[in-house]
Amino acid sequence: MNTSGDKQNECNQVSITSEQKQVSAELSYKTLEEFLKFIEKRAFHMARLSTSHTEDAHDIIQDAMYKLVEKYSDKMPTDWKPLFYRILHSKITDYYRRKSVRDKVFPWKKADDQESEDYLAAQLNQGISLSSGEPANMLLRGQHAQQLTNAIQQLPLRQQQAFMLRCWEGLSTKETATAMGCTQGSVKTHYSRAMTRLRDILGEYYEQ
Amino acid sequence: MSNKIDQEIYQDDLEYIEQNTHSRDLFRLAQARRVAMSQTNRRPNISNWLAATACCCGLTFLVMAPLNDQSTPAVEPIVAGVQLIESSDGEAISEFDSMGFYYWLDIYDAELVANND
Repeated sequence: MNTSGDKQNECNQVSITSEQKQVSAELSYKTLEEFLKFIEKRAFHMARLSTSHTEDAHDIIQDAMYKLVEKYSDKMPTDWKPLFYRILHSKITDYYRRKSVRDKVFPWKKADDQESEDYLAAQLNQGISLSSGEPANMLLRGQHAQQLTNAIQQLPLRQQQAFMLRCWEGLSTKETATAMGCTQGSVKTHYSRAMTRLRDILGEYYEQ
Repeated sequence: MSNKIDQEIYQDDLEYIEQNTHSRDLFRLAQARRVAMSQTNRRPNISNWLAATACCCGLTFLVMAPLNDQSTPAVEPIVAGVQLIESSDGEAISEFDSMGFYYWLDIYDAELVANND
């Protein structure tokens, strides 16, 4: 009972945040190019976290952008975001299907798939972080972000999607359901499980 | 309350990741956006190439199959002839051949005996 109450509370809190973000986002872009510019970095990192591969993430993003412009440029600007994420997640699912076939046909290529270097570590080592502030704080924040990245990559794909769309992109449950192609109930379940799992993984680390 | 705090921390870290996007990735994203907006120079889709290759193979097979069919009748009569000889009462032929041989042998022997005499 307490768990379901927490879950409802969690969903309500996210809804408020997502509504606020939605209003500000609607003011941020008027044309499709502005929308793509607004969304591209976040979408790229979502694809990168889902695939664990930067080059594949770029390919997926390019395909998703191309398809959005090709098929849905006549839609209302408010519809672009759920449509774009729907395309993006279809592309990611296709990527995993192709990858599973490729792993069966070429099993020796399996080991080369994972990127050896941490994305943020390279940035921090070069000392070119865009964040302003104390180096120690920057380093700590970078470590936290890297831990979160690793934790997200441990989640199942659907939980990753639900978490990133709701927590990061700030989509409502309905928009997330449209983007993921499932019911709102499924979105709530995936999101709740993702938050619980992340709390289990990151709880001790974040308390330090 | 804990959920909201966790969520804010996660959002903060996710924004940090977004802000620290590598410059080469920003450049490639801008390039992808430009390609998408112009709807040109799209990266070739491998599945389209596979489908095109399969179609070419199918067409080649369809064109080559009738040509192969035309070349076979020239060979068939010879084969049919050989089969005809072989299949047409082989026992009678061998008997006929052996009778001829013995007939010639008899004449040869008779001439030989006559010459000796």
